[in-house]
Amino acid sequence: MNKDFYISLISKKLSNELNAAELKDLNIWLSDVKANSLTLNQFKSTWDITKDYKSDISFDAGTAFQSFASKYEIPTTHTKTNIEPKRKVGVKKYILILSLLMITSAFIGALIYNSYFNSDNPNQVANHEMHAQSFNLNDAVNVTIAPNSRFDKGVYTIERKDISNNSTTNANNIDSNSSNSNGSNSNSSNSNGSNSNGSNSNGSNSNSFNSNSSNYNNSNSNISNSKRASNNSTINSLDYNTNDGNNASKNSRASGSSNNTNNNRGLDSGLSNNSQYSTQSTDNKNYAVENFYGQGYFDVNVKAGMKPAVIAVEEGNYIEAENAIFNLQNYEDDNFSIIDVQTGTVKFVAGDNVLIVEEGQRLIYDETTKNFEKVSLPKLSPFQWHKGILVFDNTPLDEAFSMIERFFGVDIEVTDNSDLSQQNFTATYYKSSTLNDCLEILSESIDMDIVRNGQRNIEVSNIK
Amino acid sequence: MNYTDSELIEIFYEDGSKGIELIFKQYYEVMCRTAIRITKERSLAEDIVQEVFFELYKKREKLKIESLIGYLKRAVYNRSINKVKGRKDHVDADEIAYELSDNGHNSQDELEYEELETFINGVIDSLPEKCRLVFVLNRFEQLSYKEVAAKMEISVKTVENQMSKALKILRAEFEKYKYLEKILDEDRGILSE
Repeated sequence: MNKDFYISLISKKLSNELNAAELKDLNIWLSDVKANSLTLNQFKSTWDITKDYKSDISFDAGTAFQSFASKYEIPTTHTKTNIEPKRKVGVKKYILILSLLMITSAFIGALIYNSYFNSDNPNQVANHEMHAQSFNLNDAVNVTIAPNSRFDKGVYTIERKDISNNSTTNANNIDSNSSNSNGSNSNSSNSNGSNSNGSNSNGSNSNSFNSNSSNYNNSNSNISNSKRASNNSTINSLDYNTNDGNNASKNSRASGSSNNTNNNRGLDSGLSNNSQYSTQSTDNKNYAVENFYGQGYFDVNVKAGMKPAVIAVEEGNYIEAENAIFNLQNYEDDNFSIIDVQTGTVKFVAGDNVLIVEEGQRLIYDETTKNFEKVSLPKLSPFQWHKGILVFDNTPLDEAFSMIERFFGVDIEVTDNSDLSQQNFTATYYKSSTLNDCLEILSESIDMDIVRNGQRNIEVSNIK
Repeated sequence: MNYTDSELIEIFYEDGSKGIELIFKQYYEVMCRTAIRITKERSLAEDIVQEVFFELYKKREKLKIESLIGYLKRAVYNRSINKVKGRKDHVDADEIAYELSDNGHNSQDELEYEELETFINGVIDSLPEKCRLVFVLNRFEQLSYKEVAAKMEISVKTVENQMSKALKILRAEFEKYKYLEKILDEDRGILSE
C-alpha cells in the first residue's frame, strides 16, 4: 500500500469514518515503524488547530434582525414583549394524539390488507403507500417497488437449466449484443435438434434461450398476436402450469386499478392451487414477476445451474437475469421502458429484439417505435430512490414534479403558466425527511407557492 | 432566553412575526457561521441567512416544519453551496493543480504578524474550492462522508480523496509555518543578544 492510502485512512480516522477492517490496517501500519505514528500525530495536530475556523467572527443578531425586518417588511410592533412559550401539555392532548394514532394505524392496516389480501387478483402486489416497499418474492428475487407500482407474482420454480432444451423451431438467431431494433427474419436455426411435437397447441410461437450460447433463438411468427408467445416446444423439465391465453396489452391496463384482470397466463386464483413443480410450462420461462408497471429495484440471485428469473413487463417484453441488480421503470403513462443495471448483466427481450444490458448501462426502449438506445448510467445514481433518497441534479421542474408525484403517490397541480422545463434545481432529498421536507427543498431552490390539500394533492403557483 | 425547537415552532405558527424574531435571534449567529465557512464572505453569508429566514417567514402558512434546525441548516447549506458553485470565480478543484508555494503564506513578513489561527483560516480559505467545501462540511458541519457526497453530488470516493488532499495541504502548510516561526525565533534571539 502506498502512503496516500494510509493518509486516506488517517483522514477517515480523524473524521470517524473508519470501519473495522480499515482500523486494523491502520493499526498494523502504525505499529510498523515509529515514523508512521509521527505522521499520524502531525495530521492530528493539523486537524486540531483547524477547529476554530471562522469562529472568531461575531454576528449581532439584534441589529441584524432590525435590518432584516426593515428590508423584508416584517411587522415588529410587538417584538419587545416577553413571549413565554406554552410548556404544559395536558393529558387530554396525549389521549387525543393516542386516539389519532390508533385510528391512523387501523386505516393503514386496512389499506395494506386491501392491497395484498383482498384484491380481485390475489397474486397482485401493489404499493399504494407513500414510500417504497420491499418484497422477497422467492429464493432468487427481491424487489423494492416505488409507490403507484404493481405487478403480478409469477410462478417461479426452482428448476435446473435444461441444456438439452428440446425445441425445433424456425427461429431467428439474433445477436444479443446487437443494437438492431427490429429483428431480421433470416438465419433460421435448429436450436438443439429435437422435435417440438406433442404438446404444441399453437404450433408456431417459440421462444427459447439456448443456455450454452449467447445467441437467442426466437421464432418470428405471430409475435404481435401473442405478447408472451405461447411456447409449446416439448420441455422435459419440471415446469409449471400456465393455461396460456396471454393477451395482455398496454390498452388493457387500468390506470391505478388494483383490479387487474389480465393475469393472462392462466394463473388461477392463488398460488396454492398451482403445483410449481409438476406441470408443464407453455413457454419454458421462469416467471418471478408478471405485468410489472411502475418502478422496481430488483436484486436477482439465481443459484448456479438454475434457470434464470424472468421479470415480465408487457406485450411479451421481459427481462431475464441470473445474478444482477437493476432498476426497471415501466410506467403506464410513459411509452418507454428504462432498465439501469447496477451489477451483473440482464437480457431484455422485446419482440424480436434481444438486448444485453451490462453493468453501468442504461437501456431505453421505446414501446411505440420499438427503437432502443443504450447509454451509460446517469451521473447521479438512478438507484438511490429504493433507499428513500430522491436525487435532483439540475432537474427541470416538470421532471422533478413527476418524480415527486411518482415517489410519494401524490398529484401536483400547477396553476401557473411558467415554462417548467426551464426551471432547474439541484438538491438531494434524504430518507429521514418527509414529503413536506422535499417540498421545502423545492421551494428553497425556486421561488413558488406550494399548498398541500390533504394527503395526496399539492397545488403549486406563482413560480418565479 | 433560549427556546426549544418545538416551542419556537409553536409560537411561529401562532404569530409569524413574533416567531420569526425569536427564531432569527436564536439561530442567526450559528447559521451565519455555517454560511461563512462555506462562502468565505461575511456579507454574502449574512444575505443568505436572511434570505433563508425570509423564506421561512413567507411560507409559514403553507409548509409544516418538523425540525426547525434541520430546515434552517439544510436551507443554508443548499443556498450557500449553490452560491459558491455559481460564483464566476469558482474553478473546479480538479481543474487546477494546487501549488503549495503559491498561496500567499510563505512570506516571513506576513508570518511575523499573523497568529496561527488567522494563518490556518487563510490556508483553509485558499484550498481548492471543492476540496475546501468537502473539508468544511465534514470538519465543521459534522456531515459524514456520505452526507457530504450527497450534498455536493459527488461520490464518497471523491470525498475521501478531497479530505486527504485537504489534510495533506494543511499539514504541509502547518509544518512550513512552524519551521518559519522557528527561524524567526532564532533570528529574534540573535538580534536580542
